[in-house]
Amino acid sequence: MREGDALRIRSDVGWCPGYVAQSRRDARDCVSLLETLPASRELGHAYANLANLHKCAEEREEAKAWATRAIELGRKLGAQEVVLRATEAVGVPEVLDGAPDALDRLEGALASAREAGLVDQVGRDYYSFLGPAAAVRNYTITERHLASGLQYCSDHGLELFRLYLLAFGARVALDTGRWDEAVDGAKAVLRVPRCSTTPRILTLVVLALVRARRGDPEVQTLLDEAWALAEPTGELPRIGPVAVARAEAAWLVGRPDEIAEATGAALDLAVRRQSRWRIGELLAWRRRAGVHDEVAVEPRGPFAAQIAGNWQQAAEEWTQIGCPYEAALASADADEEEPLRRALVELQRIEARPAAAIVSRRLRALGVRAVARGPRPSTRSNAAALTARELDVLGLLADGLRNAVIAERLFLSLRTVEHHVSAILGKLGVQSRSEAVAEAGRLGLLQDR
Amino acid sequence: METYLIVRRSGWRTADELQEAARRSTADGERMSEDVRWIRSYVVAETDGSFGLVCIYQASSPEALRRHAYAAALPVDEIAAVADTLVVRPDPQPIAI
Repeated sequence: MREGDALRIRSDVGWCPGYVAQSRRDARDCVSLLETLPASRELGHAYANLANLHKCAEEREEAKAWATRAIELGRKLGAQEVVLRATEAVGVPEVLDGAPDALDRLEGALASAREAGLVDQVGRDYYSFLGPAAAVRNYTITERHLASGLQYCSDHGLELFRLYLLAFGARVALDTGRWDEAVDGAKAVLRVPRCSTTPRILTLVVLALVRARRGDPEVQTLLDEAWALAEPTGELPRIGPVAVARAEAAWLVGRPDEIAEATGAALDLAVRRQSRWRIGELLAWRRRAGVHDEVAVEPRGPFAAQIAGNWQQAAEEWTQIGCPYEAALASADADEEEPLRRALVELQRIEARPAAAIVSRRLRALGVRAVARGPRPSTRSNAAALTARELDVLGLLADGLRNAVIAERLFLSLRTVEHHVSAILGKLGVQSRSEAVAEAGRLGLLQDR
Repeated sequence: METYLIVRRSGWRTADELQEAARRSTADGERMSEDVRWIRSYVVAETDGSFGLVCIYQASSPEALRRHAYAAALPVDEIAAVADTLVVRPDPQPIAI
């Protein structure tokens, strides 16, 4: 019994750093061993562990099969922890498939784990449903749980899960157009010297994409490291995001011919795993490189519209979800002047220089002569050198809003708002919020609103 | 610290504005000297009569340079990583513009 349990623990611990094959062997050996003994909690844990390993590779059927056994046994023995772990394994693939009630079930499991004081399981629940929620861009869920999850993990010393949540938060910040925050989150993870490989892969990708989208150097070394960590695991959730990032980076530097190769293996894997969001993402990039694939699985998300050539619907969906860069890129798939112009203005606004240059070239190729250089970053336009974000905050200060409300309006953390407010006071050389508003009025900083 | 080249096109209409930017950059550079060191700059006379800058910095990352530019309200058009430095002759003497 003890030997079986030890194998299960070794299997669990070995997965995250990337010893996937060994972890799977241990998990199966553990089940075979414990099945020879009378039914036990340990066997329930063994089933749930194996289910979770399959979940981590997005192997839907296997995850479900083992989880079903775990749940049956867990219920019979009254082992709540086993049931909750197995629930996690069933729910995650469902979230990725966009099943509407899957997130509710996982939120329920999280609440039960918190109530029962199962600290480790709470950490697992946060990690296992916030990752997929971020991947399918469900920002209602990430807004609701990321901050409290980070707090819980800090309070309970769950360092590994905290790093995962930081990585997911960085990804959410990137995808919702808050690139500075994405960099801060990514660097917080990358600074940890003995960080496990999965959070490291995810944050290397985030940092690489911020650099690539800004046209900054030192992208390839990050992506090479991420690929070297992800590829040997053979697991889609690790390989997929790196493949997509490599495709985008290649496109941004004008080498779309590299996209097919960068995404080929990941696409095969995603199709085998029936992973609809990831298939959509990969196909959308391949389409930009002129590769049109026939796959048997229908993609999900705004990518589906993109692949079907319906850039307008895709752009609308992205805007609705809250992904400005993706929305602009979707418009950039158009062949007409008007949407391309709008994409250009938006890409210039968010300082996505290489993508803006690509759209400019496409406009010129369409025979559009005067492609205006967009407004320069607004940092120079005001005497007090307030940044665009500080001007946003200043505007809301002038409306008399409290920091907490400003935070909500601008989707920032309270701490970030406090930071902006003190920077505004410093730059304007004043002591209070009301003085700041008065001084801003005098300098004409509130006129453009 | 790595070495970077930063291009800031047409950032300033007058020499005074440029001086002011240099002052802000120095002030912020001192504040975050662990991350960013300004080495030297060449003032570019743009065709429209404005001024731009090509700057050499040492920094811990491209993001540190972005942060510095943001804090000192300096434009950034391009950041490139310097792979090597070949010094053939010393820089010309600075002249006031």
